[in-house]
Amino acid sequence: MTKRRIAAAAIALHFFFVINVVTHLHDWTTRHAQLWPVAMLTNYYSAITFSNRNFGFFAPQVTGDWNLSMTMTDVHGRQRPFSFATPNSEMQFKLYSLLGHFTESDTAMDLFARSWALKAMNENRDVRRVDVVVTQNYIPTMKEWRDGKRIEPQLFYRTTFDVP
Amino acid sequence: MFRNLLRRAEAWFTAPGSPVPLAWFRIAVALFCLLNTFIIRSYILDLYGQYGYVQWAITRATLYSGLPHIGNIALALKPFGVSADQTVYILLAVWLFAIVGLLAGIYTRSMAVLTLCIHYLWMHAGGGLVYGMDIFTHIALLYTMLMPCGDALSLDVLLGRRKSEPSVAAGVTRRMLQLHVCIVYTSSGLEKAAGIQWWNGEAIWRSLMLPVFNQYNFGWLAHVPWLAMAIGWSVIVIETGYGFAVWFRGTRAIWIGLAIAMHLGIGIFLGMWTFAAIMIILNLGAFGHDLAQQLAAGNRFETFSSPAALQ
Repeated sequence: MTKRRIAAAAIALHFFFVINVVTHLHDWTTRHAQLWPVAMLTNYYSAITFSNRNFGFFAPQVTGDWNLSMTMTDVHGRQRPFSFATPNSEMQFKLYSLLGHFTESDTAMDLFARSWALKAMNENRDVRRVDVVVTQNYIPTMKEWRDGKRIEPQLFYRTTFDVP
Repeated sequence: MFRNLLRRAEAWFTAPGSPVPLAWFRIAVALFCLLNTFIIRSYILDLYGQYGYVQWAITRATLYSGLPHIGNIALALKPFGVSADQTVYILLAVWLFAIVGLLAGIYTRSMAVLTLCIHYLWMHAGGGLVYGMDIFTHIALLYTMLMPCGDALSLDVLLGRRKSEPSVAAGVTRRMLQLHVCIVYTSSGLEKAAGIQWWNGEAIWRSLMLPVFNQYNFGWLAHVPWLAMAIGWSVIVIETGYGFAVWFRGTRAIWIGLAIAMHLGIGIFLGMWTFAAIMIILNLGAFGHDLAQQLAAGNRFETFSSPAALQ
């Protein structure tokens, strides 16, 4: 009987965490200091199991995707591009996800950009400067498309990293 | 009356179930993980390495305190002369060993725990690269760990380590998966319904036109906006209605068919084949057995007004 009750409690807790997030109740608990244990446990459960997440992908709207381009400048001032390998659609989607996470905050943007610049420099030891540019594709509405407007990249983020 | 209702709900939830559908789910998930690993095999260090697309320093900093990170394992192995990159490859070898063990169904529960743990490490090492496919793969692995999925179609049964017989654990864990899948679809549908783009067709238009997903020339769709709108509405109906329709014999086959068709559409028109595959696996893992039994019994057209319609 005890084993049964423990299992029942564990299952109930699992679905509490799931429903807590999908109903956005979790957003409410994070705003109330007295409910921080609930919020904290929900966050930890999500970080471990990923089972209690907001499953509304592409919701409520579909944002434009992004393009990442990096230009390396070597010790002689010569420039060449650096890009992440996307040989198949799976790697393209991973890069798309990466850029999506990149845009989550200003801090994330700077940290990610620094990470990419470091990768470029690690793989190209003669490089002394890396310019990171991220553009976001403006997707015209169906009406704009009929009026002749087309997809165009718009500057989203730009930064430069130098080796001192 | 409430106690009676609770008793009936408990009886429904804890009814013993066959381990065979769980075994098929285990096999499908293991094969999917193998396929996925094969697809990204040349880019393991870029995705999960210390100096990959997102450095460990960043992914470690964003992880909640106290939770393990692949960097912790690298630090633990460093005194033995193992580098960070070698740590990743060691984990990859252990991952493949565990997946094959899960597929074969040998020491199944231990292999399921091991795969889930390593997938957790991949998820956080490559934190910036995670998308829906990865999340649902992790959920699928969580359920293979919870389920007695080694109780059928496994070496554990062949070697006499496990008995292949119906159990309450098999029934309960499959019910859990069913409820979880229903919550996923219904919440996803409601989130979409909260935005205007899914009602006016712009979400379908934008998804098809995004360069990252663009498989075919869909410029013509702008001239038939009603089609994009109809597809958007159908997605909302399929997802929001899933959590209700899938429980009734009269609508189960239709709704599972619609959900699978939707995911096949995502694979064909957006190129998201791995996402489509894991969602189909979760669908069939949750409700495939009930659907198969229903179709075998030849009562797929039984209406839900009949007492037997609600299983």
